[in-house]
This record gives sequence, structure tokens and C-alpha cells, in this order.
Amino acid sequence: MTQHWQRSTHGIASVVLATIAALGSCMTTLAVQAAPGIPVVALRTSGGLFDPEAAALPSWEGDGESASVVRRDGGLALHIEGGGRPGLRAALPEEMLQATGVFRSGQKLVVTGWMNGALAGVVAIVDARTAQIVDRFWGYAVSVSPDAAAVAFVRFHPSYLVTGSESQYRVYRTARSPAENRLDLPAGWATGERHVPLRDVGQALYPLKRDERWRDNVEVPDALAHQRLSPLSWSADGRRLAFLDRQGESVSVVVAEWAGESTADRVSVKAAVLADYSTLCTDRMTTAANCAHLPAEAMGFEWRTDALTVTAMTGGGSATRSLRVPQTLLRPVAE
Amino acid sequence: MRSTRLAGVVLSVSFLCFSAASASANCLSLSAERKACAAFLQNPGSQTARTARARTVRPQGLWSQTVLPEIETWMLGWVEYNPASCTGDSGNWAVTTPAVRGTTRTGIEMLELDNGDCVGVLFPFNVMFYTWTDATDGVTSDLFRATWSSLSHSSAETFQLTKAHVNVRGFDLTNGLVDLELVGPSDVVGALKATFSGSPVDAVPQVSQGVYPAGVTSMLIDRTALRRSDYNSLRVNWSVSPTPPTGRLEPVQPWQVLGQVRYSQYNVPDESACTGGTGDYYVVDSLTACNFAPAVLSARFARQVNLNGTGVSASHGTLKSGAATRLGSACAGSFPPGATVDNSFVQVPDVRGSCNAVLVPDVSLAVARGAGIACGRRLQLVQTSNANFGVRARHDLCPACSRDFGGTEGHIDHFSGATACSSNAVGDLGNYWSAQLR
Repeated sequence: MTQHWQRSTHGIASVVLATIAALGSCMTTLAVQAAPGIPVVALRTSGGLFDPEAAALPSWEGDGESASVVRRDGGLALHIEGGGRPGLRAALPEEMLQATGVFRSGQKLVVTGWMNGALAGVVAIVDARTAQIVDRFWGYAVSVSPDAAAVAFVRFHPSYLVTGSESQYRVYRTARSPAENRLDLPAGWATGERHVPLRDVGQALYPLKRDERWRDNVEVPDALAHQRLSPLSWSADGRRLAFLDRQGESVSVVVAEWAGESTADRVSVKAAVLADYSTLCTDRMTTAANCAHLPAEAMGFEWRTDALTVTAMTGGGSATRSLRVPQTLLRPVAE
Repeated sequence: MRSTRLAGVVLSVSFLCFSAASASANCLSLSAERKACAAFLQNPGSQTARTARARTVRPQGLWSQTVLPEIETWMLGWVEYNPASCTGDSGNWAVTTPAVRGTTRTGIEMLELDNGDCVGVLFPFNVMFYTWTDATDGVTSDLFRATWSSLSHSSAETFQLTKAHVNVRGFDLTNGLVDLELVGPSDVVGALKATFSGSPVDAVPQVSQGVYPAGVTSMLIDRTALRRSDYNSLRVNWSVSPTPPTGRLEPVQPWQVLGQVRYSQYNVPDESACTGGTGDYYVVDSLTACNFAPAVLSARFARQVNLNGTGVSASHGTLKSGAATRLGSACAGSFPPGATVDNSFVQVPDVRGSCNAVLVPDVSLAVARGAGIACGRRLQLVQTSNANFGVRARHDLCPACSRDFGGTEGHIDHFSGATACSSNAVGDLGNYWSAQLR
């Protein structure tokens, strides 16, 4: 039995495509470019760029309803139609300069976007019935699950002028209220009545140790800091999330698995250190640090019953390399 | 065989592709009846005009010559003759120390004497030829010894050969010039071809516009044609013969070319440029004293500081986002009610990036982690015309600059000194070819 991540069905090219598609509907044009031998420039499409003035506006459509991002009053708004109601319009957060995707989960719409050239992400949760923004938060590498019930992201830190930033992986549950998505705040921290935290949101996935969940994600020594090396890639059923993480010279594949929404908090996180990770890299990238050169878009995951395969394009898109990780290597991450 | 007369002397030469040459000979009196003459060709590399001159005959000679690879070169010819009867003896060559890097050959060449003897008579000079055949890179010298003997005379000769080659002495990324020494015959010229090899890609070879003679020179490289790669070798060919002389430079550290890079810009938000309403926030004097003071700030300014990391306020000096510091842990017990990391800003004396260096407007750069650009490393930015745009330095980190290339080969954020509320108001700097400087 083979289960592919995302919508992948055939071969390496599809695997890569699947991960790219997870980044936003505007980037699906990369599909034809996943095959080996395509020049590096072919990887670039305007849809994947931070270009607020020229970027395409994403939309969602289904069940006789639609939600489209439109330009309005110098900013972005979400226009909702259908369901026998008059059209509604919600002003999207001012800091969302470029929208990258619109998704729907139940009565909520999830709008993802970027805030600056560093691709700091902002996520707006919109009530589809009232067009009210019920929550918003910031993060990096925002990845919406196929059913939009969950949003994985890297905890936000300022885009510049910080030292020792670290990737801390979290997940936001769309069905939950803003308060429910902020239950995990450390004891003694003010939740802020006047300011809903935009940064400290969601359920910690990794690092998972209790004393690490809310540790600072800046000014972390390089040797200790976790660094994301891949997109956060959902399985097609939204029950698994996979990504690559580096800490110092050690690169791990991390897999988070949920039993279902009813037990959403009971996440099982497993990880395996990839001792031979450098096989994914070009010849000269012999260290994990050098491997960070790998474009995040050019990496995908494929799940089989006995192993997880990590695939990367290297050499500027001229070669595809894969690394098979036997499932037996995946060990539970201790809390 | 062709004959030509030049300066009153006739020389007949026919070998390889050379058209003609003239010779003269100084001669040695062996006895009342016998003389010996030696002749050699000067500038043997020339394919257009080879002037033969006489040598002053010595019992033994040391001959140094620069030769082109795979081109047979005249070393030295000898003849013994009777000035009365005008008859000659070609004698014989015996190689005593063979050449290592090439081959030798002897042959008879008919030459007229230029000392007034036997005018109009061609004598059979016995000539030693040499051809460099070794293709080994970096080997440029050879030596062989041979003795010419005739009825009355013997002369031991030593031949030192230098293969024409190119000394690639350096490549300066700041001006695109390759520093070269072209070692070869003085009367040849040829175009230069430079080839950078690297990983993951090699560069398309570049050919010079003009031709170059031997000597110290430089070749201008179109840097913008070098794609993103770490280049660890530069090979230069000098097209003066069918097998061009070459040289190679392998730097200790590769030339790290980033290729065409998109430079977006960020800035330190300036509250004076922010419009809109205000909000209530907290200003913290330091992470050690942890004194929180209520402050009214532009809400848009506060958001931009939280997004970008640092900003210049109208009344509280330079402020750093609490989230850009260890405020949460350093002042954990000092937060007043309502204060959070997200609505508190720490006063700092200056604007520092992730490299803990004070940012310099229009100089400092923020790069992706893992981009292989160390803190403080300088980058040369070059316009599409190959003219320099400027030098910048990495002082900060851009977490997401490993993506969003905009049709280029990389993405770097440039720190702008523009007074604006957000970096979006600053706009991109543009696309520039870039390479790391050492």
C-alpha cells in the first residue's frame, strides 16, 4: 500500500509538485517544472514571488459559494458570495500585502498571505457567514492542510534585526476559537486584553520538550537553534505533517501524526536523524549547513508503508535526488 | 622548397608551414682549408617572418628557446666547408641527453653563407629540430643535449626549452580583470579564452575582443555571464597555435558567484512617516533593569517594528520589538498587567542586525541563513553592463530569502536608509549580479 503526500500519484515529479502546491494555489504552475533537466530559471514564476502590485489574487470556490481576494481602498479584502446571501466583504489585515491562498474549512475561510519580502506570513481566519475576521496570526512557512482544518507554521519572529532566530513548529486549528488556539501560553505570561498575540499561537509540534515549547525563538545559539530545511508538507488526508529540521550539523525528518480532530491535541511526533542527508545535496554541499542551500520549494515527501522518501532537486534543478528513510528509524520525540 | 633573398643572403627552407626565412652565418676557421658555420633561426615561433641570424661560433653552446606546443622548431644548424672549393660537410648530430617533453629530429637545410665566402653557393646545414609533444598541464620546461661532429670539428650543445604558456596570476572580482603573463615567442599574438569551472555549473567560455602579444597583460571578464556557482578553477587559452598555450589558476578559496540576485529592501520603520491612529504600548529601558513604561505609539509603527525588528520612534529613541529580544524570559517577572512581548518595545542605542553589527544604510545586507555568506562578508554588486554598482556587506539575516528569487538566482534584502513607515514603501533596489569578495 502506498500513500502519497498531498495529491501526488506518480513518480518523483509529482511528489515535488505536491509540496509546492501546498504553498498556495498561485504556485501550482510549477508542476511542469519538476522534472530533471529543466534550467533553474524555469523554477521561477511570478505567482511565487513577493510582488504585491502584480501578484495574482487567489480565490476559493465550492458548494455554490466563492471567496475571492480583491483590492480595496489600497489594501486587500475578501469578497464572499453565494449561499443565497448578498455579497459580503471583509477587509483583510493591513499587514497582508500579498495574498497567497484562500481555503475553506466548515464555516471558516482561511486566507494566507505575505507581509514583506522576507515572506513573513500572515493568516486571517474569516467567518464565512458574517465576513468578520475572527482571528489572525503571523508565522513563516505557512502550510494549510488539504481540508483547511489545520494550519502548520513556524512561530513568528521579526523578519530582520534579530540574532539567532530559530524555527519552532506549531499548528493552528481552524475550528477552534482564538482563545482555544492560545491555551498553550506559558504560565505567568499575560495574554494581553488589548492585544491579541499574533506570534504566540497554536499547538507546539517541535521542539516538543515542555521546557522548550515557549522558549525564545531569537538569540538562540547557532548550535542549538532548530532551522527549517523544507516546506511543511501535509499528507493528503491531513493526518500527517512532515518536514526537515536542522539543529547544528544534525538534520532530521520530523513527522507529526494526529488520530483525528477529536483528539487533535494528541499528536504523535516522530523524528529520524538523517545521517546521510548530504546525499540530497550537490557534491560540494557536504555539510548540513551547506545543504541549507537547497531551495525549500524543491523538496517533497512520499510516504510508503515501510518508508518515507525525501526528494530534493539540486544543482539548480538539474538533478533530482532522493533519500529513503525506513519507518523503523522514526522514533517518538520525547516530551 | 622555396628560396628568397633578403639582405643579400639567400636561404632556402621548407618545413612545416613556414613560408620563408633568411639566414646568415658567422663562421669559425678550423684550418687554412676548413671552416665551420652555425646558423639558427631567431623568433622561431613566428609563422609570418622568420629571420635567421648567425651565431658566434663557440665550442659549446647553451641555447634557450621558447617553443609553441606541437610546432616543430629550428634549434641549430651546422655545416663545415672548404672556402676554396666551396664544398660542404653536413656532419652528424648525436643526441647525448634526450628530450623528455618532446621529440627531436635532424634534417638538411640548404643555406647560403653571408661571410663573403662562396657567394651563390648553397651549403647543406645539418639542422636540429625540436617539437614539444607533452600535454601535461603545468609542465613548461625541457632540456636536451646534442653534439654535432664533422670531419674537423665537434660542438656540444645544450638546448633549454620553455613551452609557451599562460601564467594566470589572479582574478579580481572587483573589476573583472584576469591578471596574466603570456609566456611565448615575442612575435606572436593571439586571442584569449577564459573558462571558469565550478560547482554546480561551469561557466560559458569567454573570448577576448582583441589579440594579445607575449608579456604581462589583463583580460576583462564579463562577470554578469557567470552564473551562480562556486568556481574553483580558471583556465586561460592563448590562441597562438593549433594547440594553444594554456594556464590555470585554482584559488585557495573558490570564487563564490551568486549570479543575478534580486535585492529587495527593508528599512527601520520611522514613526514620523507612519500615518493612522495610535495605541497604548510599553517601552522597556533594558533587559536587565526591566522597567516597563506606558507609551503611546503609532499603531502602524508598532506593527512594523514587530514585523521588521527595530524602529525609530518619535519620542523614545530606537526601539526593538520585544519579540526580537529575550524580553519574555529576561523580564518574565516584571511584565505589568496588559504588557506582552508583542506590545512591548525595548530601547536600544543603535540598530543592529543578526551579526551584532550596527547596520549601515545602503551598505548592509540581510541574507538567508545557510546561504554561505558569513557575517561581514562583502559582496560586489554589478550592473548588467558589467560596470560596478557598489560593494555591500552582510550584517543581518533574512529568514525567507532562500526563496522569492523573482526570476534571478538569489534573493537578498538590502538595508535602506529611506525614511518610511514600512519596507513596502521603499521598494526593491533591483537585480544585480553579485559575488562574494574575500
